Amino acid sequence: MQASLDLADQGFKVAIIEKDATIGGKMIRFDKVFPTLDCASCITTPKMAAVAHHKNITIYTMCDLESVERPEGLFSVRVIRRPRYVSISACIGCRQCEYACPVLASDSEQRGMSARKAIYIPFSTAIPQIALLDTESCTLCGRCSKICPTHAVDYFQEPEPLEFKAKAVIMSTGYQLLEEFAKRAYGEAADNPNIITALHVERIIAPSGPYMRVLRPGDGKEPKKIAFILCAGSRDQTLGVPYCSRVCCMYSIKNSLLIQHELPDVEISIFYIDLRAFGKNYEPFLRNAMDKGIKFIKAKPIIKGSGPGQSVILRYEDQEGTEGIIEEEFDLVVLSLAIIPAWNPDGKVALNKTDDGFLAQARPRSAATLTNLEGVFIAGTISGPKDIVDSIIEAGAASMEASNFIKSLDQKNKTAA
Amino acid sequence: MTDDKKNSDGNDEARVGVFVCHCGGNISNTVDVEKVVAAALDMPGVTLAQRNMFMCSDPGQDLVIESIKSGKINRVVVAACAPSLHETTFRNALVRAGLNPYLYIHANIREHVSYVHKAPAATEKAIAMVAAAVAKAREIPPLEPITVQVTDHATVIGGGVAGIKAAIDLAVQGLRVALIEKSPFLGGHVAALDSLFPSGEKAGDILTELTKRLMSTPGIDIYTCAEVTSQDGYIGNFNLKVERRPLSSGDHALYPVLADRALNPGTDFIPFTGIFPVKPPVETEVIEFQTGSIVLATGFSLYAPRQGEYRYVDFPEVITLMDLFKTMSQEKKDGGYLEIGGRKIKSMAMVHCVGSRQVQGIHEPDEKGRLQENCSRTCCTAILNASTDIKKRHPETEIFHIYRDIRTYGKGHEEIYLKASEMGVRFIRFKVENAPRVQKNTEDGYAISVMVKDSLLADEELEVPLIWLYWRQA
Repeated sequence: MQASLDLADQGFKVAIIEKDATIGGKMIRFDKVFPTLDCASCITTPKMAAVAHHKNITIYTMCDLESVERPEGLFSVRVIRRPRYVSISACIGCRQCEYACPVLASDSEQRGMSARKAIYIPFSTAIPQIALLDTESCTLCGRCSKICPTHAVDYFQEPEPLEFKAKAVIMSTGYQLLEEFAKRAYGEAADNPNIITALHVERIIAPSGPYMRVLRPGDGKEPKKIAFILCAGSRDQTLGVPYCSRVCCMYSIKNSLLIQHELPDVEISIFYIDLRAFGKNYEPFLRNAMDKGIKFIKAKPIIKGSGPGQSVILRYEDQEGTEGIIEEEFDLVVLSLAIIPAWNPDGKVALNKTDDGFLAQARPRSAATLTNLEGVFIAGTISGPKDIVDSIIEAGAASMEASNFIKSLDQKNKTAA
Repeated sequence: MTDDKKNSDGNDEARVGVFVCHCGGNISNTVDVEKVVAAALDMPGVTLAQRNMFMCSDPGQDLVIESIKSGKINRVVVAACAPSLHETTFRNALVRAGLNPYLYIHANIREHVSYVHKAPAATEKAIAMVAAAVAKAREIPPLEPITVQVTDHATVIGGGVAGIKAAIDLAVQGLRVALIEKSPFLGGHVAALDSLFPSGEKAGDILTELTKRLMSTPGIDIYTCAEVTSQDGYIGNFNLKVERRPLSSGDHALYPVLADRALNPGTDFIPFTGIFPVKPPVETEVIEFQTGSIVLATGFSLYAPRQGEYRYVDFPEVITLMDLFKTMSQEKKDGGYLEIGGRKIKSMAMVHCVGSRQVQGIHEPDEKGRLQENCSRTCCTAILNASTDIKKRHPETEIFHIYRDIRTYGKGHEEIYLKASEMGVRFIRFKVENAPRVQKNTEDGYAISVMVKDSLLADEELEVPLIWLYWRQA
């Protein structure tokens, strides 16, 4: 979004191609951000609105990238737009369909911790405010179609190929979490609904979250003892990924502080290998958490199994202690899962990758957003884990490179003509 | 409602719409937003009052737009966060609704209320602030923006990698650019480095590449030996006065290369010095120009250790990372032990976080009363990278890292940490309250030693014998 706005403000026409049903990425699903504790929505929603209303920007959601080629001069970007089963031009976002739908399905927006309808708008601040129908759970009862004031529901929509012509392409496909790590590392012991990921915590503490307060998902009880396990899959050559995911230390500290604010009596332990509070004002943030009684334990625990009342038993050795192996029961365990690439260019775009699966930067120092393809730029976590600050900086850099690239291209064409 | 009333730009009676934002709980957890809405409805001139979870979101802004378009309101008050965040957001919404954007008043009930007060006083203050905003909104006239010519010129201050890159990009955008550097050389701190982690690229190659582009991009004026002496004007039209001074004896002391040979300006990299792009003036020159925008890229300086800290200065064996880089690049010979000044280094310790991550009550603040609380971000990997270089060339030299946390977070950095461990580099972790001590050794065999309590061995105190070299990163 930042790269699009920077380019659109310079007068370039920009198409945003998004695989999700709404723009906003991961950040719009967060509660607050470190180290300022600004609310994520307050920063993201206005950007989303600015993008939506910019005369030079068009948003295409639910699109899967098929190919990026440059036969001559212009890039040809081919995508397949998945069916929403709701007409984009007709839907007015009134949510009548959503209210009328009798089906309740697991809401992936809330990481499955609450329900949504089979036809729905992802969340109240989603852009565009257009409903989509989930064919997995839809019973084809027809109520949405009947009630829709603009006859926007269309059960017969087909995937639609689209082609864009562009002078430059910026890829910012982001990251995902190494979700299978828990199973891989802890086996059956991971089968406890009170072992959750950091993205669950973001939803639980968010004002638009599933419970409107801090509860654990297993049985809806208020947790009294919470463990955060850092490097769950990061810096782990055997079961996870060898690299550091860069943001887990900080967001776990942030989430602990926010939970402590909601539940003042809660006991929180953060298990770490190293504490990597390396950004501006991150270190005072860490000190603040230490002063506020968050426990930091240098240990890599394993999940031993479940205890009484759905609790989780951890087994660890505090490397700075003298007690040897400790077994301790927690009401809730949060895994800071490793960050892995969200998108693989293989077979679609001839972009080089590094060994970690992220995209390779052609000139990491002098021009970090350049790739091996001239005219294709990268920004954000597509090239490796990064925090919000660094991702936004790269977006600015990528738009500058793209702008300069287009300008030199136009100059060349002018000279040739 | 007639059409002329719909788009009224403030010529008819004020009908104020008040919109109270929950800010997703940031406000509504402290302020009773329903009460604020109810109170607003009773205020004179208010024809509509509503609340929303996120006023800044698209649906929130639509509330404002719809209310204006329907003619219910012709003045807007949004009670939300600081105007620095979203005043522009809502002014733009007014524009989209066809209303003059300045018929808008922003009431800050987050930073000025919910963040700093408790209920119920917070609610009272929020109501008072909304009342003030409403009263003001009723009186304001529509405004028309004026257009001011902006100077098509940008100034970049600082000739390191950041400044050079910024100057190139701005010039390609078609702006005239002034690059101002206080030393006679371009390259900043990067010029003082040799090979860069994690790829092993030469710092000089990067600087040469950047400077070549800088000097071949039209429209860039490079001023070395230059400093900004005065600045006035305003956004878009600043006036700068820049003074260029001739080379001084200080320059000659700092840059021996100036005396060694007659330098010709160019893009050649002079190791540990930088690139000499233009000749310094023979006598002081003052340049005055107008510039539209200024990019500050003045960089950093290294922490200056206080007298006696880790016995730096006291013991010649205690050196800094930068010193080590220089020493290593000058040493051409590979083999068993690293040699410095003709002496073999059998063991060395690398103390991390000297002057970084300082903690109140443990570290002494500087003369201005400040602590350097932040992490310096680059030292961990830089030290580890230097360690692997030493181990590769001089496998017999033993290396101890005395650290707090190993922060190899970047792409390819963790691999360097792993490599260092595999090469036999040893790691001793200390707690911030147990700072290691450097002491002179009276016994023969080694020069100095570091006493450190290893937190991973229940704070047991170890003596790390250092044969010659101990080194500090600031």
